[in-house]
Amino acid sequence: MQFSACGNYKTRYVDEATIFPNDTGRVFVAVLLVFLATLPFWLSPYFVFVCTLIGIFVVGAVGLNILTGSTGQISLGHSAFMGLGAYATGLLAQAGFPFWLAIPLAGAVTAAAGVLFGIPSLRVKGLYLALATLAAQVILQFGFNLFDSRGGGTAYLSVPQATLAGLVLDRERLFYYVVLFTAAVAVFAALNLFRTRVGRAFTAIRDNDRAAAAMGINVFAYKLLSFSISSFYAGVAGALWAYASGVVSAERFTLLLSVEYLAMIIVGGLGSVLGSILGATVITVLPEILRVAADSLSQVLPQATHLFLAMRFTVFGIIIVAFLIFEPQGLADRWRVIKTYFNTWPFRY
Amino acid sequence: MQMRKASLLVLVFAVLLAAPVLAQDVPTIKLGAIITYTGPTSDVGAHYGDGIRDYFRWLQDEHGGIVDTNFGRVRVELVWTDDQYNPQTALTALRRFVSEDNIIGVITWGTGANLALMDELNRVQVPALSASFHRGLLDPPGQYNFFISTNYDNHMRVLIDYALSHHTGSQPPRIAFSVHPSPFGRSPLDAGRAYAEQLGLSVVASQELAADVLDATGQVLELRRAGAEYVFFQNVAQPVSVFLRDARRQGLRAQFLGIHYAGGEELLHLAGRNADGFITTSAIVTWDTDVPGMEFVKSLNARYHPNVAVRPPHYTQGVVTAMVLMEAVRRAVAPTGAAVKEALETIENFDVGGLAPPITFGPDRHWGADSLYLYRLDAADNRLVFLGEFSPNYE
Repeated sequence: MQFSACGNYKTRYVDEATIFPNDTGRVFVAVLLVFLATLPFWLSPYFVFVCTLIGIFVVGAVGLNILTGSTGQISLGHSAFMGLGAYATGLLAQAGFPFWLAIPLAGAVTAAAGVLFGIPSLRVKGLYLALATLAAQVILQFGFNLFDSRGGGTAYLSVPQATLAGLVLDRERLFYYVVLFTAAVAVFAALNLFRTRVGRAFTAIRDNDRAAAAMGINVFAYKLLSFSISSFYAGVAGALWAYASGVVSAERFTLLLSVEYLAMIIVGGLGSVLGSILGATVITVLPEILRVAADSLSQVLPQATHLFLAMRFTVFGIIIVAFLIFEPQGLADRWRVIKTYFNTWPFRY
Repeated sequence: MQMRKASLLVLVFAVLLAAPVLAQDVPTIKLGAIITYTGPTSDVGAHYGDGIRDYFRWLQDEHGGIVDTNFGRVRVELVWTDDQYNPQTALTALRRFVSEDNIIGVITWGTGANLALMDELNRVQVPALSASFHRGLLDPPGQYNFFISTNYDNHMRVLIDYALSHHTGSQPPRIAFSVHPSPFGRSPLDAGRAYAEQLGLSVVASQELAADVLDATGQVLELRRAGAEYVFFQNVAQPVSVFLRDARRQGLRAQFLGIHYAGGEELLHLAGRNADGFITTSAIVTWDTDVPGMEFVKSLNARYHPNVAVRPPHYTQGVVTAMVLMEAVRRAVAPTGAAVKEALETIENFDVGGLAPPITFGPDRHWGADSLYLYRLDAADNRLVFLGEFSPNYE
């Protein structure tokens, strides 16, 4: 086993693109996965549920980062795509599809919708594309509302618990493993995507789409492919969310969530898979911490309740701004700095 | 001297020994509240939350939180949180309260959150008293959801009955619905439409009005074109006040009527003279009503919010809901959610000091009352005029 290289011994471009340059990373990831797998044994159901949510948003954020961070196509419709995946899952689950079939199918449905709403990206970019995807958000959200109103408002999609070979994957513990597995697969697929021709084409389009076209990259096809992959991830995240919460309602998939998704990849690091993971974790856990803090402060000082509740949003905003100022490259860059420090630790030059 | 020292020592020892015994004698049980303090519908949700919390603060300050129940003397503690009108947040909060705090009962707010919580409540067997009167929460009957009034459908039917009985204009009367774009808003639409058709009314429009709307000119003009004579709202006060302002601007002359959360002092405060003549249903009496229970509610508010002079009925509703849940805790045979549910089902004609119609639950009857109050908003006197207690003619 090789844990660290004391120089640059790469002789081929393939070596540059390896996910794990040495065994440290392999061991670290293996230990991390084993550790994550033990969580349900010693955490209370509430914390397991929070971890489940983190896993779900990791999948979604990795998806958005492929589109926005790596292909340079900004999207304000990511939460609507997640919602579409959730609704598709609700319908499929009610039609009797098992979860292992419903989740990828929901992803496929969402990917198709993503291609449709990605078509304007041929003509518009930057802020204009942001507005075009905002339209996707509004249109899909309107559709969810219409769907909800079919039964005069009494209709909401309830999703049965996932079962595997007769075993009920309860929402408290076992379904966490489904999310963990899916998130791990999603992360490794994304990491590998950028080692392929497709991934390099995405990066070329992000850096300069005219130059990319001049090099013979079919810009439109690759943009649509990026939209469809990103939406597939969003759809899978929505599908997991539907199973995890047991009920699908339009109120979760608003513009606010799309903005939160953007916050995740900006806080984590644009164009970085690791950044998506860190960003999703921070943006999911932070409001929960602030909520618990505000709640306990209000128990101590009940007369200042309204102040503490309002402060949550202010503190959340300040933290995000602080990230942008002090960590403009995102958490992923901080991680890289830490890794570099330990590369030669404790025997520094 | 020696004697006195010894007796002092004995006394100190006695106190030291007794203190932990006293504290241990009283086990703690926890109740939850998942309320909307921020976000959509928080304009009324915050009052409801204040009512619940003030009741439990009073219980703590006056009685040390100690209550005598059928399973012995316990200390009651309230854990609560703000769900921001987000079903996912509400669900996360419920899971936290159940797994971290072992709550045996919960008070909840919005329809969306309650629909999201239904499955989970039945699974963990914790009864919920909701502020939402959505019919779907009690379907199938006998589950873990309760609410203290009759459902929104019946609120709507009472309003339609009232409009019809005072109607003098065209035949058939032209009515319109304006609702919040959510399960909450849409819940009485089907029943309202069916009832209107049954009575031979003509439904000319059905609109949606979002909670954060700032301009309703479009909706108002549509209703003016359609010649609506009655507009029925299922919404919260804020958007209704916007609608009423634009209705006056655009000269829409219709009678406006709303369900429980649309009207009340809040609407009068927001819309002023535009709200004059608005008719609202209410599950709870208003602030000025002279009933025995009101003194307690006013004393709670004066004690914990000395700078708030008047509260909409939703504050009182919070207090009443807390009273009902505490009554169930007293009647429960064991400190479990299932026992509290059974205890709730034994509540019959429970007198809440005239703050609401007497509350009756049963194994298959999880709505608290069959009747409700009607009020007309009077902007000149800045108060709500009591029109009577009604129940729908419908069966």
